[in-house]
Amino acid sequence: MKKNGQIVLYYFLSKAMFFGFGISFIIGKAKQNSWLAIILGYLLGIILLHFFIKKKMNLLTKSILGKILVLMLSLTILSNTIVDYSVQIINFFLPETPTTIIALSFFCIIIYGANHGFSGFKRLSELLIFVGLPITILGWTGNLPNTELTNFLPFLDGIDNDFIIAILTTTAYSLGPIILLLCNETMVDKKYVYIGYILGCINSLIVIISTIGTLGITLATIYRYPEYIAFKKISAFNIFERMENIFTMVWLMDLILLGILCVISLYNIFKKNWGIFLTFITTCLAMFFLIDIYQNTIFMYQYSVYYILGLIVLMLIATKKESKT
Amino acid sequence: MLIRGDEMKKIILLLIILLCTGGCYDYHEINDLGIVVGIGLDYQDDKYLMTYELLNIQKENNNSEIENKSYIISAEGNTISDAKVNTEKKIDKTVSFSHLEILLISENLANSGISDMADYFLRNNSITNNFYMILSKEVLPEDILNFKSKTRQTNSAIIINLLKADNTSENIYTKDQFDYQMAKIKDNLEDIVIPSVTLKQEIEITELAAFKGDKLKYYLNNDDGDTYGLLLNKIKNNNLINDVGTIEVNHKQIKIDINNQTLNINVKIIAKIEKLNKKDLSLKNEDDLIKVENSYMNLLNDRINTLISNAKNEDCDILGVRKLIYKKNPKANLVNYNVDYNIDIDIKINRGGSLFGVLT
Repeated sequence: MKKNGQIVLYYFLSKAMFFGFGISFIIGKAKQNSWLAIILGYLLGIILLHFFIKKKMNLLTKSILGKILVLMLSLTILSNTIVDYSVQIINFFLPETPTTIIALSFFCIIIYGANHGFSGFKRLSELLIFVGLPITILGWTGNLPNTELTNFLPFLDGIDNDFIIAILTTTAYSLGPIILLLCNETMVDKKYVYIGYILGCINSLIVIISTIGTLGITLATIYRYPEYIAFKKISAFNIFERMENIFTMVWLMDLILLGILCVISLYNIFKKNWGIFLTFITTCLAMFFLIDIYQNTIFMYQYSVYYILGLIVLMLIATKKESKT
Repeated sequence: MLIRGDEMKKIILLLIILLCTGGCYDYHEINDLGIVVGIGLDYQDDKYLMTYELLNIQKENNNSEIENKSYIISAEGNTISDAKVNTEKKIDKTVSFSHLEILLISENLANSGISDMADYFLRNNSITNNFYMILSKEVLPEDILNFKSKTRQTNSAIIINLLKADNTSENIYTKDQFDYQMAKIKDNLEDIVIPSVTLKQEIEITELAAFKGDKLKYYLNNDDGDTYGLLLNKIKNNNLINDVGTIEVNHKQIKIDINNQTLNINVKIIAKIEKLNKKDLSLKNEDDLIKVENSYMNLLNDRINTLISNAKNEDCDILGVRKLIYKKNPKANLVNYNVDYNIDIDIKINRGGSLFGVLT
């Protein structure tokens, strides 16, 4: 794999969990200081990444404990991804289509992607960057005229426990997929991992600034998908309007890549058929329990952060033990 | 030719994806859609009267007569949801709000408070949030939406086009959209000002309507409206008229900030002379030019003072003083705030036109 391909992969994955779960949760907690929470969260992420990157993470799946931890992380991220993808499609694209069809089509796509192996997954990410990056840049610049920096005032006011939670959320959501990737990667180039992760940080930071700058704190905290609503406000030269659905394509790409990575991780732990079976079960559970029956994904926002962080810490301890033995 | 097992799997997978991602569930023929471009909302006798202006998307009739591009459907209900359901019962199409442009509210509704309806319009996923709230002055929203215009455009489009024209003080921008206005009411850090329309020979833009909280408080007169538009950068080409003549503002730089309980309003304007009235003035003479500039500086100073004093009398914070105080000092008392005003105006006339003086 080309080294710049690694950057692309880490860039995509470090921001993949932010849409839906991340951004609105972080803005809700850190309000006008969200930009700072993102920076501090990614800094904490880099520190933790530094410890992970020194170890051979791909050896983690050789032990039973390591397998269990990777399995737990994969399933958590996978279920989040399925819910995120389905809810996005229901809300923005196909409001009348049953969740089953949306979730199962996602299942088919990620299984198909995972069946092409890790090299196919990398190639896909390299391909998608040519679509994703221009759309992302257009999205950022499109909202520049609407961005008001006074929306970030009063500066550093109201920093409390919620601000800490916002930092931890940033760390958990940016680092979780990266660690999963490290567990599947055999050749890791530290420099490119850091560059990819920092680029992801810049991307998330710009999304936060663009969202709060455009909507203001009140709207950004009250809307369920503030980043999507901010895209709705783009009107370039009074010609290019209602392009939000094009801009959100990037998030779908992120989620598909993340879903494929989770399935590849399951393939590495179990046999392929078991991996497919587990993915199917997770899809069904996420679809029926989280979306159709429970009809409330808020608790995922609240608790998955601590769960993913806990897993990250446990994996850090487990990799230390592995390297000692 | 036999198909191998692997290929068969791929074909089945492809068929599943094709079937699942076709989006057939959400498919609607355009002729089956009732496209709502404007909503009128009135509140009378504890009942909401809702009016939809729908696009007429039928083909022209055989005689090639041009039909109106829209029609209205109205119904009332005890709540907004009730009124909506009753309205939609009368529409034989799937209602689509994706092209909604305006929400026209009546004075009755504005007087009784608009917060109650906000939640409904913003929570509903099917309604786009990029529409503008406009007040219907001295006439029911239903009558405005039902007006048969000479231009045969939809009435919602007429109102939007009037408001987006460069020469109105009510010029609207993205930040004037409904959700932003509602956020201002929720924040309670500034009072909102929205455009109003009325119906005479045609649909006309009238005075700006200032709210206190979520209730209509007063209408800004024309001078106040123009000054408000100038201070908030809403007018692109506005004129200042006094007994000396008329100048057109070409370029302006407005800065409003607060410092030590003093609201500083800095206005820098570059203008051109449109008309001179006084025969004794000659633009060859620099002192005369300064006199002209000073006369407009005094005019604008008076107008800003009047705008502030009228708003103060009505207890409305249309310039967002509370917001400025809060951004500077979040712990400040915003209930009984008291600020002094410092107005600094600098007008430079850089274009006098072809004439040095008054010809006749």
